[in-house]
Amino acid sequence: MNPTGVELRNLTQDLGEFRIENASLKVEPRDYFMVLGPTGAGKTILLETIAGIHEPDSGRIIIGERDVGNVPPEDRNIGFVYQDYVLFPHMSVRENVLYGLKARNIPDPEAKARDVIDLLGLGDLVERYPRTLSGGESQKVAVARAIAYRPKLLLLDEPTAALDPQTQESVRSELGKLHEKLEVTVLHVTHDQAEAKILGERIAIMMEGRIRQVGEIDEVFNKPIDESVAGFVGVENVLSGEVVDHDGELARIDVGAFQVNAVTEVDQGTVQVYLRPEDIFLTDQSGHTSARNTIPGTVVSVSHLGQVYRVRTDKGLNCYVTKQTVEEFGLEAGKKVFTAFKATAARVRSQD
Amino acid sequence: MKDIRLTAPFSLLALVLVLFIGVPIANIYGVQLFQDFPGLVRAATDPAVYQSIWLSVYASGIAAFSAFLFGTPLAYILARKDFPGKTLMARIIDLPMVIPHIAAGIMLYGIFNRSGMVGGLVDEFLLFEDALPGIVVAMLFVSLPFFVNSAREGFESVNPRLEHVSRTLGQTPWKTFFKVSFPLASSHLLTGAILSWARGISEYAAVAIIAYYPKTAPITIRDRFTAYGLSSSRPATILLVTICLITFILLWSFAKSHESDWR
Repeated sequence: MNPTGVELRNLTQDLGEFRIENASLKVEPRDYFMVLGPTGAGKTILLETIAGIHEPDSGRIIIGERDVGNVPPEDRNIGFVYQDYVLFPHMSVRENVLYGLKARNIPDPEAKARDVIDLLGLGDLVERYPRTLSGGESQKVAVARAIAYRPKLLLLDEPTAALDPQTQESVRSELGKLHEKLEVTVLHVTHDQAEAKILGERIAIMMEGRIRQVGEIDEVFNKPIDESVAGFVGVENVLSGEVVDHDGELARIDVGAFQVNAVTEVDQGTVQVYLRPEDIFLTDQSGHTSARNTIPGTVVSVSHLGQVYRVRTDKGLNCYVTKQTVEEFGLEAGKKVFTAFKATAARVRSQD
Repeated sequence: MKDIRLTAPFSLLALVLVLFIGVPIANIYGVQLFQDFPGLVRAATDPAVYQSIWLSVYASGIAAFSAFLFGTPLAYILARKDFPGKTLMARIIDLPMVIPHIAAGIMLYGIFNRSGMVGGLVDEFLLFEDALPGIVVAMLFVSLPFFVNSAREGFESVNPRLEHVSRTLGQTPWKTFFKVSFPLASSHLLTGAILSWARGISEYAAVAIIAYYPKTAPITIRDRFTAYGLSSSRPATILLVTICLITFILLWSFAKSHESDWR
């Protein structure tokens, strides 16, 4: 069966606590599409509404060629995996996987269940009941149950959020492989940027019930549409400025405290410059690097984020450095440093 | 050292309650078995006694089944749906627990007597006054809240997402109810049915108003107590209590074993 795309047109849904406002979105067949948003953004409601659990207040949902407005969930031919897996506790793993095959009267359900059990390596667990499974195992069973009848569209609601980091990693690679193997369209919601980057092809940012930005992963992560999206996708440096010069490839942009050299087609007017903190590095002398931008400053703060340190300078720039760099440069408040970044690291969006 | 500042006084108070329930039961068995065993044998072979006990068990069973049949959909709706008047509906279901049962009997008699709103309507083929249907109606009225509340709690304990997933997997709402919601709530449903069955057996006042005859066990016991006193009513009491206890233990252990493989 060919995978189908899904399209939302001006979807609005108000469930009191959670809501969706005027969401429009197009997921192409075979896409691995991510919806990234903070907790409480309405992501689960979005998936449940696509699945037909809730009837939208207004707007349309088109799965494939079909407007599914009045189609009940059981006839939408989708697979659904919840964050908390919700396996049927009174059924064994095998019965859980068989459930959808039997409900749909698919011929030879036992063989089809075996296929998917083998595909996901669940062979040893078939007679076990869900309460005896680990989080990772439950997650796989939930995926197996959802794909056993080969739905055209797979909806994943934070499928790794309840797992430990190692398991998350293996589940992500598993999901990626399954997507290729099964040729299914995936719509995956998450609050985890890393997950979105690893798995996603196209992405939508959802905040407070609204779809804020849709695009290719790189586009969204590097050129967020506004400051709230920028903050959410980890673009910690958003600078407003004016293009003062453009040589056909490189623009010089005055952002007040300093000037930025950026590769962009925007050759005039008011702009915003986006810089990811991991794209900025520190040196202790000017001209020591090949980067087009070297900006002198004084360290205002150094904070430990677990894996890396965030260094903030008096020019308002945040950058991430390693522990080694902190020790090598003796980084602390008051230390004079140069922040440097490449002309390609600065992403420019025209504000005119 | 273990800190017993809270647990010691609490344990003491708890013990008082356990004794309060345990001692009268132990006492009545002790007195009967050791002081008047032949009296017990006489009661057990007295048709008036064992027929009345059987009637109680049987009528109450019908009442509990009716509570199950009508109460399950109601409990499901209360657990799952939001609608105007829901709270009022839930309070109405609770009313039999706060209405004095003698008053419940009077109210039911008003409806179900031979010329009452319902009793008059079905007069030709169904008699409530002094008949089994009257006993069942009285038992159902007083025991319904026990079933509905327990069943509602059961359905509330089932994650609605299980039903959602079942639907996305291709199951209709009806089949989802019977394959997911019902089995997962079944221990609560069974508990509710047991509670309402027990409540029905124990009912005296409401039953006595609408159907004094045929005599249920509580009415037989009350009759003997009034006419002949404690020693005469005790053997029938013991038989009734024993049958109830055995049945409860069987049903509880069935309920437990039935879910032990997955819970």
